[in-house]
Amino acid sequence: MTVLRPATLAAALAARSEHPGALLVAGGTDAMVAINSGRLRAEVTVDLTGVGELASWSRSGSTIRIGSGLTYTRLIAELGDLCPGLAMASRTVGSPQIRNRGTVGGNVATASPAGDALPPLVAAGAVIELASTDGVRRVPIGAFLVGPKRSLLAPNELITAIELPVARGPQQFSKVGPRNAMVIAVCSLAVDVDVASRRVAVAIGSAGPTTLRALEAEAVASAAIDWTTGALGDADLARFAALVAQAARPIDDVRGTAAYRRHALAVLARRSLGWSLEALRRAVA
Amino acid sequence: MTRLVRSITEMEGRFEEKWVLVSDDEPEAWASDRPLAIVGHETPRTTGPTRVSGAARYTTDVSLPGMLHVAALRSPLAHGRVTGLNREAALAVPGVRAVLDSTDTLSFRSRSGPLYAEPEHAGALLAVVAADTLVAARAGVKALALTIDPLPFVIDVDEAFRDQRIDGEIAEESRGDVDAALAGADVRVELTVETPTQLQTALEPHGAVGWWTEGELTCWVSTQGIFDARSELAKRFSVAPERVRVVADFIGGGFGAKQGAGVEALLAVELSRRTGRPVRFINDRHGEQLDAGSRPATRQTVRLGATGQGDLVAIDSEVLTSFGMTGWRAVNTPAMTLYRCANARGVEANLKLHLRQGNAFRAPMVLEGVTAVEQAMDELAITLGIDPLDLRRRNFVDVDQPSGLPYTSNQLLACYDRVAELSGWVGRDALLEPSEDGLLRGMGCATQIWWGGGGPPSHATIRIGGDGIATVVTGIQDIGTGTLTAAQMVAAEELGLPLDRVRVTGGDTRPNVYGPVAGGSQTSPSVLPAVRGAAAEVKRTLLQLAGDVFEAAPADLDLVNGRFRSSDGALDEPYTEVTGKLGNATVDGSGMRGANPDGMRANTFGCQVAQVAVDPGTGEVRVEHVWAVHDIGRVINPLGARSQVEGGILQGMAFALSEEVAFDPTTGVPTNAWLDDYKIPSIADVPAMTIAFVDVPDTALNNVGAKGLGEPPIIPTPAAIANAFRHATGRRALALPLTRARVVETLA
Amino acid sequence: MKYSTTLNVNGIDYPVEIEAERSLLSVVRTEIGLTGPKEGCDDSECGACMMLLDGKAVNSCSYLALQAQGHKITTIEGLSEGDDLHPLQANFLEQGGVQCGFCTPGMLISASALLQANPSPTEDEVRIALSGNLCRCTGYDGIVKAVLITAGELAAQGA
Repeated sequence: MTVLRPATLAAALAARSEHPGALLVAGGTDAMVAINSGRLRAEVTVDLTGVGELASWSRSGSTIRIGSGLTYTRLIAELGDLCPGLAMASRTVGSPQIRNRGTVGGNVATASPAGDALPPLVAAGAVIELASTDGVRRVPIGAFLVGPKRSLLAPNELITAIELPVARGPQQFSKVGPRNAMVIAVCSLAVDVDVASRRVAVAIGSAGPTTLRALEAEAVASAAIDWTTGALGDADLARFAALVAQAARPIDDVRGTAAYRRHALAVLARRSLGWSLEALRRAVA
Repeated sequence: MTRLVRSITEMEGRFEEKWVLVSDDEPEAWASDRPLAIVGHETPRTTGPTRVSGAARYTTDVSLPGMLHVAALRSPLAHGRVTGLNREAALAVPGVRAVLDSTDTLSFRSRSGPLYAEPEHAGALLAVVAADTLVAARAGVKALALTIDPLPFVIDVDEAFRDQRIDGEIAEESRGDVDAALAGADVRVELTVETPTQLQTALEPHGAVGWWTEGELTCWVSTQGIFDARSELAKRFSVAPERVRVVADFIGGGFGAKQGAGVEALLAVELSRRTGRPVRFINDRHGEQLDAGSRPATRQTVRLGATGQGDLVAIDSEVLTSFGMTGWRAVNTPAMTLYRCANARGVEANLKLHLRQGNAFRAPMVLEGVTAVEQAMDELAITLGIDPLDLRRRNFVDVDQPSGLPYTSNQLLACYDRVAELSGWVGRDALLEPSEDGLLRGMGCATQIWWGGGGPPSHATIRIGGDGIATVVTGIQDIGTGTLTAAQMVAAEELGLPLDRVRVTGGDTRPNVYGPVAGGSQTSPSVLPAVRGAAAEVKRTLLQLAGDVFEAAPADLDLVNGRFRSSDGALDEPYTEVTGKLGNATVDGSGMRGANPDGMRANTFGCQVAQVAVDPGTGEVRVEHVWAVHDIGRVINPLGARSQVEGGILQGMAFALSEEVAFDPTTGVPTNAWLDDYKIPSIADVPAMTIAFVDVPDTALNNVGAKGLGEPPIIPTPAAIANAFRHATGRRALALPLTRARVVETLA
Repeated sequence: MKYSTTLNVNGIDYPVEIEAERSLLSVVRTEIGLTGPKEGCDDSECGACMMLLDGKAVNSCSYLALQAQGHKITTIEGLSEGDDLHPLQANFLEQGGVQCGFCTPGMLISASALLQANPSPTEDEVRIALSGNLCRCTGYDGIVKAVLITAGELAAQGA
């Protein structure tokens, strides 16, 4: 194995172009485990930790641009107010040591259905910025994630940034795992309440081939919420929860059964939207 | 005077009569009310500074010049036939020095394996490759390019039972007339429960470094029994035990799984013999979780019959074990011993599945049995409308019913009272009131029984020289339990020296001072009396010498906290006034564990109460608090004892809540044989714990009054949690662990 | 192909020749010979391999040794100065936070990183900071107490 350690984005793109399919390592928290176990063998590895341009974030108007190399630890500390849902999800990733190194870009690139950062990004309608020596393109995350560990990332491309709007209302992230820390999600759920456009978005993790939106549930909730008071009837909330569960496409695996995942998603959906609307009602009052 | 006598010894409920060496000079047991200066006081562990500084050398840390590293090829199938292994390709990998597979004739004898052509469980060893580096060894394994044909497999209990795939004999024991008593009982309950396959998951995996040289075979082994390992290596390789040296300075946990030499040591020695180089074979985590041990799953049906007042009249227990240990069935021990009952029957069958055979895991079998019997008792209490603790008090028994023998000590009733007081047991129904957080709360209890009396043989020597340091030599190994610290405390107490004047060693067979395996909660009650015997002998000699130096009658002198004192108080001199005159001479003493008292049984007892909070939505069960009270005789080191209990509770909690090996039903292969999906508790999962001991010395058992503590704390925790869940929700989950999915199903 | 590089561990520069895929843990244990950091899983799950990298704790089993070039690496062997134990080490012993000791080096590294970043953590913060370090022997109780007591002692010294 050869390791390339570019110090600039241009050098990283050049390396990627010269060695298409090379293993990209940012935090290395997923990749190294695979290398140790022999599941992954790479001729060429590109270490992205030296590329400072990737490890920052910026705000432009109502849009946040998160560099793909921003660690969870920094995201939690610096973006808790602007992107609360994403920050909540980041807090549930691995251990503090993993969060010190793990990056949002890595989570998107790995494209695991269980990726903790993905539901809030999908709910917020994030856009993935991809770069290569040929140029830059922007892809909505919903389109970028195509299946379990499969994405539109081309062999010569890097994820350079993730763009998402500043929260336009309450956000929630909840996750069920088998114990209290260091868990891979059995299922997870992000709720994004956009007060300005009177729209609720919901995304589901670990309950389908990739992160899923629950569009019907979103439509029902968006229509049923009294946006001036934040009120939502119990029956509508229950319907919303049931529709979220319906939108899931879970399987039975080592972490849980499909039936349990549907059940738990309904519970998480009801609670998450309930908490979000409670926050909204407090804000209104 | 030493003598050879016939004596009954016990290990995890297996009794054996053998010749043991005993001493007439063994000290009398410390009286219960005698104040002790060191024993009974919190003492940090003796090897602590080494452990916290990173200097402690575990087997995995041993590195020798020219050492080869071993990588293993394991079966990817539950049952299969190896059709191809490219040995030449593996040997052609640079750095690879040796390959072994099932076609090699090994120099040690083995009934089966350890390298298989037709593996019968996933993870079974097929081949090992030794190379200059681990990287090269792994490349060698890859180059073997295994091809293997699948064969039919059975991992399902129902299927195995239908096909009567029963391993060995069905074990049955009974007394009285169970069927008649059940039929005539006022009240009957029947409960079928399942318990999961749990993995020991010591943080240091199994491993060994073997070095075969002309004069001596040296083997570092991560083992709970250095002398057992020595016997095994001597026997298998046909060398005299005195020519085998087993070293285990530090062991990163065992929990029962690390018995004897283990296959890693056997293969490391074999490879060393073939290559002439030291060989290191340490399991990787996946290999460890696949093939290094397990507590096998059980399905148990318990029927209880009782009078309307709550007196048990019948206990009937049927057990199916998913390929447990052969030759020893003990799941029914609690059914046969825990409560007074004239009619009791236990039937136990071991199903032969394509799973790794179970081995010891902290309170093997008894934990499983208690988990079933104590849930059935809970159901009986509910049926009768009796307080579950009162039901247990009512059926208390002070003899071992299968043998009819009395216990050396039994403070179980005091455990019940104390745990009830600590937990606020009588007010537990207040937990059933609806809570603001929407969680369902409840409290449950369970009783613990285990052996843990220890016995002979166990030896110790103590030598003190001109530097005034007393060195205690034992043949035990400290797997984390703190036994060496307890030995240091007992020696210092008896000698009358400050703790820091006493050094204690273990973990090496070379001094040839025998100590027992660290298992069955027997180490402390076995070795500590021997240590005290050795210390008493050294002290007798020191008092003699003090008499010479100070021109006093030795009988008039005592050695207290490092000072010689006369009974009239006139003499008060530091002990170094005597030891300082020894020069290069030394004063030696040796001690041995005396025989166990005739006609008695030694057991530990206890009771735990758990409080849980259940989220009926997600199915999450949180253990909020566990109160534990155990009778382990005299508590030697409260600091170490508390830590042992906390660790036991946490492992028991995990057995009840999260730990379970999952299998792919289509392949029979475990799907969570790593640490990411096999969840042992983290620091964020710990309940509040209140721990107490009924600290009454067992003066009939041995000269320090201590019983063992390794097993007891894990035993009642799962049943207490299951019973608390029942109290909280009104439902009983018929299988453990109480995973989120199972809880939701149970509450549906 | 092997790379020649230099790793600074506990203040000493060690020249090493290593393959690119080697983890920091394996190089520190095998090439440099510091065996305090332990391999419990090689999977970033147990935390026994924790080292400080410029003062931050990392799972060294999932860190390329080559990536550590130019950083200051501290292992458990470098936690204390001279023969005196670091207060965390002393309190781990006093509070019964050590049993078999295999997880201890990693626990101590995570705890020291916590106290450097947050000198007066709450109990919850201690539990979060150590949630990536598994212990199979103790009930973690002594460990939590030891960290909190050390924080108190260090604050008192600083005051």
